[in-house]
Amino acid sequence: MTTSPWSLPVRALALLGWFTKQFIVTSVQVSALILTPGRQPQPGIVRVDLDEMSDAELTLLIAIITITPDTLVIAVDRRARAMFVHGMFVAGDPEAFRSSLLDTQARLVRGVRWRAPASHAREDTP
Amino acid sequence: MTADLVVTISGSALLILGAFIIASAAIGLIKLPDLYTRTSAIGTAAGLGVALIIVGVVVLDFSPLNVVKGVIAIAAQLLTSSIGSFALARSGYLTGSRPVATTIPDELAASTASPRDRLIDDDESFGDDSATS
Repeated sequence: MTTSPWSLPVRALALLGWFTKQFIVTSVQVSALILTPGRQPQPGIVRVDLDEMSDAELTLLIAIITITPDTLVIAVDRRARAMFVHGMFVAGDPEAFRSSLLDTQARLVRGVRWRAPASHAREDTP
Repeated sequence: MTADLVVTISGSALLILGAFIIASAAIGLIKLPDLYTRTSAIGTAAGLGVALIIVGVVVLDFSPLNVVKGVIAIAAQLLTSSIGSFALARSGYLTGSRPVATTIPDELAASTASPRDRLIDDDESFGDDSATS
């Protein structure tokens, strides 16, 4: 995976495409849940520890998570760098839900930074 | 003539689909058990429902300028509705709206002994762990 600044447009487009797919899929899932008689959601609230990120990236992350209808950020603790996320389809499996949110975070960081995280190792060596 | 027909049918189909999703979100408001799941239901209407209606209008009245306007409208709608949902959920929690009992796990309740006291005293952060760090 190339992490040069020149690949940023490609990475941003990859993020946009993934997000669009995710957005449509979860919207249909939530609509199907509502329209299925007798079916109730299996919600849950999990704590997610965040990586180091700027305020703009954090805002974008909250926006992306909240736009997808099945997930909703309820609270952010900036000093402890954690957020609390409500999910509609947790179904008693918080670890899978948490790792999907961390995946969203990783995709966002890859899609908006000039240098993607994979380049950290190279930056350390002068 | 036939191209006109295709445009009319596909544009109207998008409009109807968008209206259908908004209607299903309205049903969700009645059916779902608590503030947070209802906010999620609104997310489908404010996101996909409105986006489909905008796309439908752009298809019916197509011009390059309208495509640009449509893209801007959808992006602005998504960003504002997501921040609105977040503010709604946060203020709901602060004013004591509890998640439904089937919410498993509820790690926010587990981390805050008395949520309202903790959350109001600090504009910068939200949650009790910050006090000890």
